[in-house]
Parts: sequence; C-alpha cells; structure tokens
Amino acid sequence: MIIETENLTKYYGKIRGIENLSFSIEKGEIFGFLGPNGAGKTTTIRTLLGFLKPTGGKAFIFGKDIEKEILEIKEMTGYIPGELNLYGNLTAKDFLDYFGKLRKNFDEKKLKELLEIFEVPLDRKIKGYSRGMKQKLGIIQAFMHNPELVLMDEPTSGLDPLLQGKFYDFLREEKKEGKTMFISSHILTEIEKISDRVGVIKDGNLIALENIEALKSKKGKVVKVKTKEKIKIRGIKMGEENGWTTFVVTKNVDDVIKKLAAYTIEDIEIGELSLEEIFMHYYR
Amino acid sequence: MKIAIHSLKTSWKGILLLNLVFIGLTAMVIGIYPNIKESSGMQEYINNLPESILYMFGGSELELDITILEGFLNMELYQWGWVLLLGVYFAFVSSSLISKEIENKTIDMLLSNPVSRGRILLEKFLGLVPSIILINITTPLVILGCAAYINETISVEYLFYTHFASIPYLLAACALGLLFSVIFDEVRRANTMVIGTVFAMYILEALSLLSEKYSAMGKISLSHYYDPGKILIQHDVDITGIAILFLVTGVLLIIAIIYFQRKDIAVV
Repeated sequence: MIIETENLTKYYGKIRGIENLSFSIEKGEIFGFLGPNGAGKTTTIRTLLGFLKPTGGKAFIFGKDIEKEILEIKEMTGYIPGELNLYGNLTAKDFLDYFGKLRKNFDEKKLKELLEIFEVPLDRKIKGYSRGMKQKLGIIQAFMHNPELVLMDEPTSGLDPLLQGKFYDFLREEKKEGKTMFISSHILTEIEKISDRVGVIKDGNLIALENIEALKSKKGKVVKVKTKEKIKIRGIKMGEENGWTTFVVTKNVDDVIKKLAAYTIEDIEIGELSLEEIFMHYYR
Repeated sequence: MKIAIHSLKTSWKGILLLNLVFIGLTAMVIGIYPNIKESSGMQEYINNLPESILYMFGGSELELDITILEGFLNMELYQWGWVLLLGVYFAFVSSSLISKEIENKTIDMLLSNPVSRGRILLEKFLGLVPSIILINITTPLVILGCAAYINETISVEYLFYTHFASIPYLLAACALGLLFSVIFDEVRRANTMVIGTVFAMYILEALSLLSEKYSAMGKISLSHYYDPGKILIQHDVDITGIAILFLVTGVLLIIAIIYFQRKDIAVV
C-alpha cells in the first residue's frame, strides 16, 4: 500500500475541509481524485503532505505515519501544487538547481529526460513564464528526483491539449516504472483518460471509490429522440430541448425501446454514457 | 545549508547597499568631526539639551562627550545608526523571510522537499549571519581609515568590542523578526509589527534611563543589553548583556520554530 488513510479529517476551526476519508492506493496505481471545486481535494493533498495538521484520523504513506515521518515520506514523493507559485526572481535553471540540492535522490539523468519532454526556457526568469511554461516546470520539479509517489493537484490546468496528451503519455510511462500517482481534478474526461481508479469527493466526504472499468460498466445509454408527441415512460426522467427528448437508460433497454415504438419517431440517437453522465446519474 | 545559501544569494544586493550606506555615513560623520570639534558651542548645546532628548542619543553626559571622536561616533553613528537603524533593518529583513514565502505561496514548493520546518527557519536565520558580520567588519575598518586620515586616534581594541557586542544584539533582532515572520502570513503586517516593536523597545529603554521609577521597564528591551557608548568610551564591556542577548536569541528561535511547526499552511 502506498497511501492509506483512516477516517482522515481536517477542520479549519469549525469549517469542514475533509471528513472521515478512508481509502488506500496501491503501488503503480494512477488514482483519480475527482470532485467539484471546494470539495476538499486540495485539503486532502495538503494534509497528506503535512502542510495541514489533520484534526482527526490517520494517514500513512509508504507505511509511514504522515504526522511523524513526513520527511522520510517527502524524500520519495513529488508534488505539483494546484496553484503553482514559483520563485519569480530565479531562472528556471537556478530554481531546479536549488531544489535539486534539497533532495538527496536528485537524478540528473531524469532531469535531462524531463527537459526533453517538457521544454522550458531555462535561462529565463520564472516571472516571465507563461502559465503553461510554469506548469511544465512544476511537472519537471515534481519528477526530477524519481519519486515513488507523485501528488498532483489539477496538474493539467494551464496545459494546452497537445501538451496534455504529452503529459498523459509521460504519466503512463512513469506508471510502467511502478510509480504511483494521485491526480486530483474536477474534470471527469481527464481522469477517465488516465486513471485506474477513481475516488469521488463531495462536500469533504468520499462518496464513491471505484475502478474506472467498474465505473464504466455502470453502463447506460443516452437516448436522444425526436418525436411528434410528448414522450412519457414511467420511472424515467426526461429532458426536453428543441423538440428532442433526452434520457438515460440503465436497464431494461428492450422495454424502453418497445415503449418508444408507440410514438412517431422522426429521429433518434443512442450513445454511451460519458463518465460525467455516469456520475450525474449514479452519485448525485 | 542550501536554504541558507539560497537566502544569502537572493539578498546580496540589499547587503551590498546596506554596507555602502554605512560606509558613506561613517565617512561623512568622521569627515565633519574636525569642524564640530572646533566649534566650541556644540558641546555646550548638547549639555543644555533636555535629559529626555539626551537619553535618546545614548545616555550619560560622558557618552555624549563630542570633544573626543568616540563620543561623536557614539552619538552620530552608534546610538541611532547601530542600535536603532541596524536593529530595525535586521528585524525588518528577517520578518519577511517566512511571511514572504507564505504570502507568495512558494512555501508549498519549499515544503514539498524533504526539509523540516525547523531547518528552514534555522537556515534562514543562518543566512543572515554573514551580513551581520560583514557590516561589523566594513564599518570599523572605515572608521580606522578615516580616523587616521583626520589624525585622530581611537582604541582599536574597544572599537572591536563595540562591534563584537553588537553581533548578539543584531542576532536577537533577527530572531525577533523571524518570530514575527512565522506569526503573520502577510509580509506587510510582519514588517510593520516588528519595526514597531523594535522602535518601541528603543524608546522604552531611553525612558527607563530617565528615572529610577521606569528603570525596570528597559529590561524587556533588547537595546538595554547593548550600549556601544559604554564600551567605546568607558571601555566597559557588559559580558552579562552579551550572554543575555545570545540567550534571548536562542529562546526566540525556539519559540519561532515551535510556532512554525504547529502552524497550518493554509491556502489563502
């Protein structure tokens, strides 16, 4: 087990951050941590890294207690913060050099590799960097010491689609090397592309913990149909727009289609449920 | 030591400027000294100043004897330049050290490295030490050079002690600044609070000299334990004072570390 939390709780005074989070992440897993803004994703990550003291529960990373052995944990961990704030007055080169020296296991070869994938202007001061460049630098510093685990807080915000693809490919390669990754996001399609397993957090509570495959097998079809009459099928909620009726069918497809046959169908589209729609449907 | 070195690297411009200012200031003070010495009315004027003002400039009449270079230096350079200005400067600079990382949120990145908060604080403190030592080397050298130029003599030994004793005083100011720096998340707040505190302590010490009634008050002031005039003119080195300042530095650092360790680094 790389990460294990037991009822991890963090209150900021009376304000809830996270509540009774219990989950575990195995070695080599890419774990997607999904939730809307303000759900507690960042609080979870910052608590795991020891920036915040938990107000309840326990958490272990590499079997080490986050409250007692955080330094040993950080030795083998990388982190990409949600809001990337780097030392603006340093050049990227100086910044990487500074952080490299703070880590015993800094890997020069790895850094070279990373710089080839994520090119950044090394001699320019970071304050002159664009958001995307900063994000790349954030990725580089998180991986340059070959960590066993990397915690990422919305790492793809600020990356253009091309770079996002590059980043995902990179993560897949890292996974092959047995690295474990924890990625928070509020975008389902993003998590869907890369994760093995997904935890869903809402209002500080973990409301779902599933394999991505299991999640996808929570199948269903989205049916969009254009009919002359107004459709009514018992037990199914209909959405209507411009003469099209949309609804989700999760079971008894046969039954629904047969009922539809009673209407005058002008047009019909049937598609797979996206993960987003799965969540909307199952976990709301 | 990487954090200390990094801290030093990013502050060298300020250190250089500080040294240049004090070199200029010192040269100027000594430069005008021959004229002051000859104008006989000056000492009389000083002696006639109200006591409260005199104490602001450094206490007893003996220490304000501008007929000797030491007295003039004490009044024009050490009392306000060293005790007040440098005290404020180092407290100010150190009060930004952690608060700046928190305000700019770079603390997240720094703390993601395997470095303890105690180490970060201590290294930031250590990063200030070279600048304290440097200013205490350049200034006496300029004093000796300029004094020789105007044919004045000054005790090298006690000039050395004067500066040596200022090191624990300035270290204590730094430790105080660091404490403010971990308490306040905003640089401006930390800065103003610590400047206010150092200034208040200076005033308190001056007041405490005024009357027996207030004499206890001065004891909570850092400047109570460092009196450059006493060393330079009366050749009286306050060993206890030096020891207390080192002790205070240690205690302030420990409090700062404990406070920092317990602090939640929240996203603001």
